[in-house]
Amino acid sequence: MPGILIWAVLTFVGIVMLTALQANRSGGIRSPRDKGYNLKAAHYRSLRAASSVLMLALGASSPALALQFALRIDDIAAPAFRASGISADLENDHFSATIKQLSFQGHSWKNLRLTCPKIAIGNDAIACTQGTLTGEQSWPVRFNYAPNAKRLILDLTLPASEHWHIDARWGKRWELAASIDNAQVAHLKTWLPQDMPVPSAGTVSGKLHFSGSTAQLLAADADFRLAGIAFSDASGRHAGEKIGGTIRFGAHRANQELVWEGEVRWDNGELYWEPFYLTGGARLTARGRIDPLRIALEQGLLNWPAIGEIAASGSWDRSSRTLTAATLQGAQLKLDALYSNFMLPFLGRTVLAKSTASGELGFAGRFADGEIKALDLTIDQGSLQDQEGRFGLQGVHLELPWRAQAATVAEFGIVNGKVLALPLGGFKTAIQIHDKKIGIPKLAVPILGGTLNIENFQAASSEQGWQWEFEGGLTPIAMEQLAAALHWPTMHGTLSGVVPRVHFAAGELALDGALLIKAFDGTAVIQKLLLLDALGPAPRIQADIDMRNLDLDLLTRTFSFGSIQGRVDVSVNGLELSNWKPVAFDAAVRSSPGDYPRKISQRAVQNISSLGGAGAGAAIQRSFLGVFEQFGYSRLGLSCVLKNTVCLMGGIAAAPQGYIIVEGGGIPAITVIGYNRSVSWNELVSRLQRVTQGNARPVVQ
Amino acid sequence: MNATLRLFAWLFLAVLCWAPSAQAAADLEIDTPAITALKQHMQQRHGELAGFYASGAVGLTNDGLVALRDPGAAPLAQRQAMNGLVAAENLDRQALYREIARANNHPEWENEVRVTFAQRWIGKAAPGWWYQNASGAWARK
Repeated sequence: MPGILIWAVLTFVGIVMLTALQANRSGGIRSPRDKGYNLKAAHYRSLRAASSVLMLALGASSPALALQFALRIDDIAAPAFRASGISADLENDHFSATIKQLSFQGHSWKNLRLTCPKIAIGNDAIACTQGTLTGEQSWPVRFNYAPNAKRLILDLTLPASEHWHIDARWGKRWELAASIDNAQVAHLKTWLPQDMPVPSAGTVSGKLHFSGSTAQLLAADADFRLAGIAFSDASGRHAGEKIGGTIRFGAHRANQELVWEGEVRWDNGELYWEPFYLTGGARLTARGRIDPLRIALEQGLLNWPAIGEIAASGSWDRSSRTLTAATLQGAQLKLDALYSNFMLPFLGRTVLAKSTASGELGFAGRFADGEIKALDLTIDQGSLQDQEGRFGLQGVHLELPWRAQAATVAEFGIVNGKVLALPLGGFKTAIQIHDKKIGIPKLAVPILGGTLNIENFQAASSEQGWQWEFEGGLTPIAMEQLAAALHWPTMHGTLSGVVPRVHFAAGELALDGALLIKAFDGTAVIQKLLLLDALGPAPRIQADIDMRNLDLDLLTRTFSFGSIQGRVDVSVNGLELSNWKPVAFDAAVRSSPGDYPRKISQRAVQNISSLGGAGAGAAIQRSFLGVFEQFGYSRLGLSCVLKNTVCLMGGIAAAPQGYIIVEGGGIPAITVIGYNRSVSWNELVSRLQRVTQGNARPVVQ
Repeated sequence: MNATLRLFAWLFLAVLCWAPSAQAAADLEIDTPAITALKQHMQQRHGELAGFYASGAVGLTNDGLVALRDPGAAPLAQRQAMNGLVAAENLDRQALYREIARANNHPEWENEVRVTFAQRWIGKAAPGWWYQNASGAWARK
């Protein structure tokens, strides 16, 4: 709004000049030494007016000292500016003028009127000290135009203590000074492109001063204070509220260059610029030079107390409009604020979504010839912590020197860490980096007395996202430690494994060969392992598992199942886990072939039979066999085909109306028969959890 | 010949009449571990999203998802979290429709499941919430 008002006032000043000039020519103005204003041409040139001027200069009538003059102009047009329906009337020292329509940069205002009840028109100055500009409202206006001194002083007062004072001088040397108090930034919205965030509240106060010679800027100074600024775009994705701070800028000419420096302080308020949300408390200072070829930033310094200090330099080529060179660096930056403000917004869909980081970060980047040439990154005493406690890394150290089109080696290490409930020991490794490819030849992670070895890790970024692969193995770890760490029942024996080539691409993780695990004194081979939608909301796993010669004694002791001596083979084909829970498989447990002791305790009989859906406990207790703690068996087995949440159960052989789970052998012997063929999976799981509460009925033979 | 044609015509009509009843309907209440987990996540998130539905910042779309309708209705400090919630909710909703179709052994039903759920969400919406009508325009319940 003040912009158009200032334009309106300037247009009116022009009209006053024209009126005065024409009045003077017609001899109406008392002018002892009429040197002529010679303004008509100058005025027209400055406006580039393509106007048809209809002068209806009638007047200069008697009496001798009375002056009456009228001016009518149809149209004044210039690029981005147009005023039409102009009329001006001067009667003695009372001046009034009207513009029916004023257009500037696509915005239009109608019926603007300036009245000056006491206008002073002299050779040296035209002054309106008590003017009123009327549009939708009325605003006091004052101006003093000195054509000979080539100076215009303009004062405009608006509601809410908004005041504009403009002092302009022109000629070979020119100068423009403005002092603004409480300018409402909401006025700017009519001037901004529609796709830009629109200011809605807040004020700007301050001063600016420009001076120059002909077309050359010699010096510029600006110092503004911003208070309570609010803005938003239509979508609300870019918005700020209650923003306060200062903007200071200064420049002066030195030979062919303009030496500049500036400072922006953001003291308070909040800013949301999708996906970042930031609150005030930052200072940016910068200095540099501008010459006809380039704009140089010699030093830019961003001081953000919550993060640290970041320095930048750069050069912008004015003809090609490109950044030709730039550097950016920071040392001992606080990783916690950097991570939460600038990294977490990009990690919303990953396992890191609810994580915090701390430590110190340093970086130095160099940009030249349109690309990043070098980037050095260091993290010291870093830590990464999942808020849900799923993982954590402490004492993280990273030194990463990246160079364009050159291979480098980074160092990465941690003091200790945790994945799920498994504690990780400290390690150090070298990471090979070449462009967007990462390789780790060998990484040894100490875990529960053993070592998880990852070898030949290769990762590359492609259009489909990151893809990586590795192979490795696990040296034996004590099951006691693993079970204790995972809060499982106490387990015995060791766990080790061989990891074949593992690939990850497009959200799918797959194994090239078989994953071999040694546990419970037997072996487990996992084949056809496929992990789909690994990081999505519903990860799915498919696999075939084949376990051989598991020591039942180790296994049953673990799960306080009652004791069974012997060995079993377990096959799980077509295993499908959804969200880490089984939805389908074809599984069977069978006594392993071979010669080994086969004994089963009374409690284990109870528990096994309860899984088959028939109760054992009470019957055994009542029978004469209840006096025996252990029984012999020749073989045992149980199968379950899980489909549609129902487990179809079977045993080692058919029995009348059921199936045999444990076949007796030796003395005393026991045979357990199951009768329920179809059991709800959830029911079976809860039975497993309370194995002693089944109701299997044993048939003692 | 005419009789044969007539017979085919009757058969054709009979098939047409029979076909819709033969088409099995998807069991939308089917339960798998993934569906249970997705529903749990969505239930937990609902408490955080409800305020944004009520203020009109977020609305229910006619394709069974949620979308930012008037982000300006949410305080500035909450917009980042709101965007995250909307993105996570949509991921879960898409996964839910896919899982239900898959659990019905008809992955190709995903779109029908989505359409049915879209109507169901809008039907369950509280008064004052915003939703997209069939033509995609926002309407207030």
